[in-house]
Amino acid sequence: MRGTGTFTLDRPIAASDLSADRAVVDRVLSGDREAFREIVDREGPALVRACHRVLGDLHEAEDAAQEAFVMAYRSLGQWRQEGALGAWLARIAVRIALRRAQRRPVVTWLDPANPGSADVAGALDPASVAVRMERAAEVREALADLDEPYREVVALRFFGDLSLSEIAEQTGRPLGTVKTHLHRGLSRLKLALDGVAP
Amino acid sequence: MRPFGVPTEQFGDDVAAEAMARELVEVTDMPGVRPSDGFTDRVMLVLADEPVPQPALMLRVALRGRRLGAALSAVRDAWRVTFTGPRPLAARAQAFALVVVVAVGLAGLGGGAVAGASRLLGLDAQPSPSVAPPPPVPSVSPSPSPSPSVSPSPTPTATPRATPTDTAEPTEAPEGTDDHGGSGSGGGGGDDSGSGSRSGSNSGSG
Repeated sequence: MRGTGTFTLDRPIAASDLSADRAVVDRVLSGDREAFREIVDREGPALVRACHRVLGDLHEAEDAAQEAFVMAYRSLGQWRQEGALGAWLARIAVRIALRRAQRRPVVTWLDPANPGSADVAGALDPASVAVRMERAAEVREALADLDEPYREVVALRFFGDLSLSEIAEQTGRPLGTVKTHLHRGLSRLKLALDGVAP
Repeated sequence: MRPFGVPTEQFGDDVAAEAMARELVEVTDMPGVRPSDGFTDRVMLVLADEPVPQPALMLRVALRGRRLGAALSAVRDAWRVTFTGPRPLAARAQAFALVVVVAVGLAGLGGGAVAGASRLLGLDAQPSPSVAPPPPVPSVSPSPSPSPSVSPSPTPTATPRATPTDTAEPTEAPEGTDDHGGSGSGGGGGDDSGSGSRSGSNSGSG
């Protein structure tokens, strides 16, 4: 879904997916610790990707995703089993990544001589990659400085790949409120970036 | 739909928000990012030290399956959830409740076992009250006791007391009932106390 650059407004959850999620979670809660491996295997790539979008560094993203899995495991009994487990995990991961991004004193810059460290630009030349990564870092920094609840909504939408209805479900806010927060968040983000951009 | 697949209805006519959305889509488009090899194993290694998130549920399943080891493990996990690490409050409270229930159960079981054992061994120091012979009853006349306590029970509480309720005042507050309010029981009590006070005054004056 993300590869095409298309966001869907709503991503319906198949009942079979939800029941499969419930089955796995029930197994974990009844003492089968290894059942959690299925969750990590399935949701790990999405969580690392989401954290990488926030943090811009793969190792740090993996650390954040790992922390998210540990936190999710500890509070697995609090999953409401209404929305998708992946959305619940993505929210945890994005929040952890945002917190880390806020704490981080320096921005990660791309080394143009080694563009392979961030394979985000496809076949672009190193200079273009450098410019793009610089802009990406600015966007991440501006997002980390955004006020709540705008920061969370924008991050969940564009970094966590959640649909608006999933965000509404996870945050417990009405869909209209989420749309408003997203709109205002994007406007504020643009304003912040225009202010700092050369 | 507009370029970059951002739905139009999200942003209306706000150019800034839409431009920002487009840029975010562009910036975050990183299809090649994936976790390194062994990521799942590393996560599971960290989780190996974690207690089971819901020890109460685990204990129930273990008891239902009659697996003593799993039950003991659940109790141990409950202890760890209660007293170690940052946990969600709900999980901690539930684990603490389980620890308390198990502790109280063990204490009760232990107390009962000790009492039973001491009884079996005859170590109970207290003489049982059933051993004591009954005291000799003085065979006096059974005293017919006519019991003149007829107790007329002057409880005419259902006094309709035809109160002339022709007052047109809205009786919202119970202030208007000077002494009628407690006409039933209150009146009886007042009579009793009144007689007592009268006798007191008589003795004082005499």
